[in-house]
Amino acid sequence: MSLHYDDLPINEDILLDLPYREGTGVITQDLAKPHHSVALVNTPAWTELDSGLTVLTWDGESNEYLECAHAACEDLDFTDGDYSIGLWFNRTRTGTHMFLSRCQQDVSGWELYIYNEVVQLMHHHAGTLVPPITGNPRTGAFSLGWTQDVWWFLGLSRVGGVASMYRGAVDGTFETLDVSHTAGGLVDPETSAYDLVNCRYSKDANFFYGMDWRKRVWGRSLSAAEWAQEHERTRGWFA
Amino acid sequence: MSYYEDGIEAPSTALEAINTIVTAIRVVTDATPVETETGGTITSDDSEQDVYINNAPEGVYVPNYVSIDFTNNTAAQSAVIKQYRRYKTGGDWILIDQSDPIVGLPDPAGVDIELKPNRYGIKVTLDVTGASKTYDWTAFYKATS
Repeated sequence: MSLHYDDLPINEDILLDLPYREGTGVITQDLAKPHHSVALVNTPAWTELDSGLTVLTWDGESNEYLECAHAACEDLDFTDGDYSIGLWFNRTRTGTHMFLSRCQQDVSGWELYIYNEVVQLMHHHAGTLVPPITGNPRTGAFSLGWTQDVWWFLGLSRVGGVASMYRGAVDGTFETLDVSHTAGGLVDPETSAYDLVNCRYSKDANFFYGMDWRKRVWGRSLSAAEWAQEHERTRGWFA
Repeated sequence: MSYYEDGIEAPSTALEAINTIVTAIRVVTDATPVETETGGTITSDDSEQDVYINNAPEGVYVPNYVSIDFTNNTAAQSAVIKQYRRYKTGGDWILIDQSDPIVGLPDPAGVDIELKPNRYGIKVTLDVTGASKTYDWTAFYKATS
C-alpha cells in the first residue's frame, strides 16, 4: 500500500507543516507545497523524546524564535476566509508565550498565544475599537484550562466570526472546548506586513518557553473529527 | 455476550466488534509510511552546506532521492555533492558517496542523488566554491510521523 502526502484528506489546503525532521541546524523545512523557508533564530535546542521523536525546546530567555519573512508567507496573511492552526506543545512556565504570530498589535494580522492557562486567538484592526477589551482595536477568542508541564494537542479552526478550539491529551482524552469571543465575534484582520514568528511581532518579548512539535497551518477550517483523528494518530509519540 | 431470542447479537456487542476492527485497521494505517516531499533553496557560501538532513530518524525510514537544480551554476562555480550516513545512534557522519566536481551548467541541469533506507541519520550536502549562487532542491522520502 502506498500513501501520498497530498492525497491524505488532512493535508487538503495545508499551507505550513513543520515536523522538525532535520534534528539539527538553524533551518527547518516545510512539508507543505509553498516550501516556506523557516529560520530558527538564536538556536533553540533539538530534543529527542523517549519515543525517538525530535521536538524543539525553546528556553524563553535567549530570544529564541522561528522566523519566516512576511514576503515569503503572503499565503499566511489571512485577511478573510477560514483557516486552522494546530500543534503539540508542553509549556513549562507561566506568562505570555507565542505559538505563532503574523501581526502588528492593534494594526493588522493574527496571533495565537497562551497566557498562563488561557489559549487566545487575536485579530488586529487598525482603528477598529472593539469592546469589551477596553476599546482596543482587536477581536479575539479564548479557551481555558491549558495547564503547564504537560503535553497538549491544540487545534484551532476559524470560521467567520467564530473560533473553535480542541484539546487532546496524551492519554487519549479529546475535548471540544468552550470558547469565549469578544462582542460581535472575530472581525477579519487587516493585511499585515510582519514576519511569521513565535514571539511578539517586535521580536523582543513573549518567547515560547517549553517544547513544541509540528506547527501546522491550513487555509480552511478543520472539523472536530479531523482534529480528533490527528490527535489520535500522533499522541503515541508523547506517551 | 447478549443475544436476542432469535440469536442475533445485541447492538452493543456488535459495536464492540466493529470498534475492535476499526482499532486494528488504524494500527495498520497509522504505521503506513506516507510519501512526503520537502525542499527549498540553498545560497552557496564557499563552504559545505547541508541540503537535506535527517539527523536522528524516529526509526527505520525510506528516503528516496534528493534532486538539485544546477541551472545557476556557471564556469565560475565548482560544486561537489556528498552523501553521509550514521551507522549507529549518535555515530559519526560517514561519507558514502561523492560526486565529481560540477563546473558550469551540467546537461541535464537537474542532478538526482538516490538514497537508501536509513535508521540513524542521513544527509546530503553541497560544497560550492566560487561566487555565491542559489540552488533549488527537492527531497522525497517515506515517513510515518
